[in-house]
Amino acid sequence: MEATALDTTLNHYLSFSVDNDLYALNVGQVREVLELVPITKVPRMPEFIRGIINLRGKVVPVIDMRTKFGMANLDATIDTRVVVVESGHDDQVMLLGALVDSVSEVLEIKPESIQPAPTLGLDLNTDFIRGVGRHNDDSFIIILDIDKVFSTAELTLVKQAGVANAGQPEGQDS
Amino acid sequence: MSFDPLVQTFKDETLESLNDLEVSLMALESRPEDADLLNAAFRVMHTIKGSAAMFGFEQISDFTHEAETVFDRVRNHEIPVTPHLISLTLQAKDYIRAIVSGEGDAPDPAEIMQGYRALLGGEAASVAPETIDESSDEEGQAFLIRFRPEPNILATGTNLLPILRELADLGDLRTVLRSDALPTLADLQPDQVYVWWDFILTGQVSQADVEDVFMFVSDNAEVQYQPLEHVRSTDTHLLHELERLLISHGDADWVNVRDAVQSYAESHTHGQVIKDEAASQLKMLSEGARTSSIRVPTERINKLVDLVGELVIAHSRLVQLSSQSGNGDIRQLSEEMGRLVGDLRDESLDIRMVPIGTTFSRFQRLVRDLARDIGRDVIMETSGGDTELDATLIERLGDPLVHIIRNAVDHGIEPPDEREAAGKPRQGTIHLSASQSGPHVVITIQDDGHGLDLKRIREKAISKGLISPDAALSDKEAAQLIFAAGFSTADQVTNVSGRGVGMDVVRQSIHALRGTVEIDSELGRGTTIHLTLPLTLAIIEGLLVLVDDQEYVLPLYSVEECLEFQATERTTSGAKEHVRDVRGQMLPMVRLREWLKMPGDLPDIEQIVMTQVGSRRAGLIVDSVIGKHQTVIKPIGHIFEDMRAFSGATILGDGRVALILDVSWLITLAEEEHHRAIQSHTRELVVS
Amino acid sequence: MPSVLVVDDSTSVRQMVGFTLKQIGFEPTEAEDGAVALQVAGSQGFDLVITDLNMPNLDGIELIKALRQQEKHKYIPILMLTTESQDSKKQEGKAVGATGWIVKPFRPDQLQAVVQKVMG
Repeated sequence: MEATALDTTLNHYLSFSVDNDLYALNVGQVREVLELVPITKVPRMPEFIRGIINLRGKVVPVIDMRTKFGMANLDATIDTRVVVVESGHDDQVMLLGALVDSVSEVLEIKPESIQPAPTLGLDLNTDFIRGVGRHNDDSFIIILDIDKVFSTAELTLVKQAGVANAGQPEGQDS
Repeated sequence: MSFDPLVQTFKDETLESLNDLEVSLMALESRPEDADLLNAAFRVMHTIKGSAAMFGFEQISDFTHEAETVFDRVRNHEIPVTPHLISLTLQAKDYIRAIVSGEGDAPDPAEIMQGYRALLGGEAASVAPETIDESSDEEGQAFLIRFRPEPNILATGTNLLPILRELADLGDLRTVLRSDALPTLADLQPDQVYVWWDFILTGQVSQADVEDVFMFVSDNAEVQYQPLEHVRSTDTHLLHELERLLISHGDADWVNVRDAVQSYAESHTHGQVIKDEAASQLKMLSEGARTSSIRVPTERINKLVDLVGELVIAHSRLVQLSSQSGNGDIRQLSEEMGRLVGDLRDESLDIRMVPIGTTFSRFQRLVRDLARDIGRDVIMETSGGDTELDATLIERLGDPLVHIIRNAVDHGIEPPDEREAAGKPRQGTIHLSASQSGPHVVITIQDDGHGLDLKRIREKAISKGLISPDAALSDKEAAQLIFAAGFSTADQVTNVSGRGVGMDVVRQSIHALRGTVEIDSELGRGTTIHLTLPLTLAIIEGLLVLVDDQEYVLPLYSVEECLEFQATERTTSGAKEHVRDVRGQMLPMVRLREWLKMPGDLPDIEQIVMTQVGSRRAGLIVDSVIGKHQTVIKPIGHIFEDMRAFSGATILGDGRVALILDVSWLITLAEEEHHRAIQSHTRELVVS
Repeated sequence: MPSVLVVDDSTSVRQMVGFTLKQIGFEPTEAEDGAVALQVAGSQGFDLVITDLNMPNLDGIELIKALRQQEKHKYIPILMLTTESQDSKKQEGKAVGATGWIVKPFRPDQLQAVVQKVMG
């Protein structure tokens, strides 16, 4: 089994919040969590690409989860974190950073207590939601599939932005 | 060993097969073409022949040999089944039965064998001679042996250690292991063999003895022997010297190793004292072999370069800290380290430099074969083969170059008749050259073929919707169209280079190497393709510039000079500067702040960085120029790979990331802005 | 004790090989043709295989090919029993992954020597 496939043998998830909603990622896909480091902006990229950071000598792109989920941008706080994940796309393993409001604890969520994502009541495209887990008997936590959060379609958008920059250096505003 | 029960089994088995044989033979009388019957008969003879001798019935073995051969030919339809053959074989069967069972009268074997031989055309079928081992020289022999198994040899179930032990058992064995081909642990596949050995074996050994050791593996390994005349096992000192020579002279080419060892051995076995001169010459030979070159796996060199890169980054951090610290001693030390790191960087990058000539010679063959396949007469000339490039760069240039050359042969050079009609020599020439120009390498591929038909290219582009019908393209721009994806003016798809789909891939490959492709052509005369590539992929001297609050890096080798740009000098017709007069030359410009879409006001004083790539120049306007920076190039990442404006990223002294701008692309940007501005200005003039 | 699979359509040869190798510490299993051999090899792993080349059902070459496809028999020595007139068969065998050969007829000590050679 490849490391980037959703490792269902691990029942532990890293929970984090974006705009007061609680999300979780399977620990099998999480590399590390960083405090906010300076992000170099890459110009003329889609909004949800915040930029690139230096991860011990490696250049890693950072994606703003607030923007990704369609929420308004906020200034960073001391709780802001970058969750470095491994995402597999077209047989390539990529490192990506996900910019989140804060990171909470590692939870154990048994497969039995994960329900499929509801199709109504959420504004998000539910493709990348693996399921919804119960947390503390009173709140729900949305479990994300990292490979699908940054869907091939969106990354194509990024690529296209790059290509657009390449093929026609335009004089007008795009 | 008690064989008797086994012999009994053999007897029983054989008698039973003989009965079966009889039945088959009878049936063959009426069905002489029946393949199954023929095979059955053959198999009986074959089995009996194979096993009889093992159970004490040697004479049957020899006897059945002829029968087996005949039946083999029969089942291959080379000898027909005749009543004569059948009766002969029935007699043979009787003979065998009599001998095996020990009962009954045996017919005369000689007669039967005669009969078979006659069928075989009188040739005496050969019986394998016993391999007689030629006994060796009484004084013992010395051999230089190389055993180089192919990487996949373990797939034949071969166990290497028993072979080595068997060799060692023959006499006195000195072993030199060759491990140059060992990859890194990450790339190592445990079921592949990456090592090989050179041996010196002395003892009462014959070449046949040695060959015997490698009997099973000779197809899956390179096995070489060289008897070393007059070297005796008692010549311990000489043997020791030879072993040392072997160790230092590890060459993949057997001939070199063999010659070196042999000549050394020869000159030392005269039994005379060698004159000092000759001795020292030979010593130099072996030492020369030691110091002239070392083989190092590319992986290790790459790792070294990476480490140097990290060192460069760490040092720039040190520089920053040391200037902040205010401590003079630390600053001095940091400067000294800077020099050392710089030298180390230069040396290590230099190690990877390889002359491009070897790649060039690869192509000679390619051109010859290609031309022959499609009926053209083409030769290739090369120059500048001693130009050195980074080894990784050369590796990655291979494919694009092959493509370009293929295109030249296939689509560029005309068939001989056409050439003659055009007043050209029947033989076309492709000239491949490399030269160094500052921090760049320029490779040109020039052919004297029919050149690009720009008119047709334009038409094709229009028909494919790549450009609009009234687009005004300069010749140079039109030529660039062949790099567009899916473009091809070849009328038929040739086997050789397929569609012109190669050229856009070529351009991408060259761009991925941070190089540029330019094309020059004259209809009827030929085409020249220029590749400009940076000498190294890893570490460059950079110029750090500031735009708004972000630093960017420009490769220093593309920078000519920096000029101040006062607010008062800005043209009043809007913020976009398209051109500036620099010492009489009108140069296109681009303001990075605008292009990067940075908000905010322009500073009062800006800087124009004059850049140049090849013959193209442009001015890049930035807020300020910070200074030089040792730039270790880091890849930006897979998702950004189509961003042409940035060729990579680097880590600054404070740990932040700065993007490296692709100057060539920015120059193109400036040129196109300029072009557009002229067009709209012209239109304005016309309208007004 | 190392195990050996002996494949030959001649009972006497099978028994002789098995007997000879028992003398040097092997545990032999016999099979009368390639198909049976493959079945046996499927359920049991062997340290050495000795096979004749000319057999009905599945012949020696096909057997060797099939054995090399099995994980447990990918790297074990496989010896062919050949007669000296069968040089091309021998090459075929090598090409599909045989380790070596023994020429029939052979003496018991010759068989033992070859086995020592490939097994060490």
